[in-house]
Amino acid sequence: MRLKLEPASPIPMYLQIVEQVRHEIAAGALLADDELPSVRALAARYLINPNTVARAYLELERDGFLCKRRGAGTYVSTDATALGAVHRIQAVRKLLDRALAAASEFGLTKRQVRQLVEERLAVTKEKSG
Amino acid sequence: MKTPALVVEGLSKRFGRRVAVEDLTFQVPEGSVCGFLGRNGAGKSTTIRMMMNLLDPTAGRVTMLGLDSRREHTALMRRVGYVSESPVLYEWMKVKDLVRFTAGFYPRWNRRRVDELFDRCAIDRDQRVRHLSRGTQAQLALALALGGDPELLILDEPATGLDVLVRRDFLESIIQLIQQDGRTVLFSSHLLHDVERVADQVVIIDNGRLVQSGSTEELKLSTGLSLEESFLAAVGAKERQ
Repeated sequence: MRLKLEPASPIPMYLQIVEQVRHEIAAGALLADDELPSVRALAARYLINPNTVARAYLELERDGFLCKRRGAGTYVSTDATALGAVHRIQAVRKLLDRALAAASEFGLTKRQVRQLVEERLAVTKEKSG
Repeated sequence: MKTPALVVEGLSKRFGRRVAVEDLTFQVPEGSVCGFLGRNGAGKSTTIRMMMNLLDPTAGRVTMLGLDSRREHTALMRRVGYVSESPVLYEWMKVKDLVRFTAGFYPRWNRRRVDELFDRCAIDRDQRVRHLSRGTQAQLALALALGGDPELLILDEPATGLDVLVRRDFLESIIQLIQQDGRTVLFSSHLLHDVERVADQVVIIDNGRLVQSGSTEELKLSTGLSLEESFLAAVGAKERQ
């Protein structure tokens, strides 16, 4: 697991961790039953407060992405893959919302936006295909 | 809710007509790392010196680990670690003698941790303190403060003037300490960069007065601002008044 944390960001560090772990699960980089680094190990690796890591793990547990097993270890939960699928859609929806907000701010018509989406889809397809 | 490790109540200090600290009130919960922020001359060191009983307050009081900082100062000194802005070490001593001397003041001495820190910072135990570089002396002071296994560690501008690698070691030491249950750290700084990484609590003062105190994450959530933006907004607002 590789995190990219920005202490200087207005987004609290624990939320940055939550968001990135969810993302890793959604992208399939973290699979069900994978073990996560301990709170101590993660805090030491990124030189951050262990309380921050603990808070992030707690939030991820509460949302069902992670679970504690056999005492101390923290694992990706079995139903995280299903949650990951939901998260995938939510994450893209959020990004789309931002793009649409910009479009409306710049006064683009619905038609122009649809055209743009089609165009970008075609370009991405070419690149990946 | 855990009991706070540090409680500052109505603390004030006047030097003649100049008010250095005015009616300062805040708490630091046990088990947290608190960044104590303010510009140069904001009153951070004066506040810390009053906590450490090096300076008498004009008014107000400080309670640490449930004990009054003035009346129970002696008992506190065994449980509170302190590194001042410019630590005064016995320069003529060899490192190993200074360690033995310092250890004598504490009921418990964490020899293993001190050795670990010395090894990591490559501090030569046979050197005389005055022959060490400024950076190494700062590390030595920190190692000695950690040796007593303090329940509360108070650091006054600890990272100022240290290079990037040393700062990293310093942050690591703080994280190691906090991982022992219930240990609390307060460190003052005028640099936000170090604070943002490790501090889960923040106290901001300006012109001797409290501007903001509480959880770093909650502050970010409620304002939508980075710590730097909050700091500038708070300090700037006062100046415009």
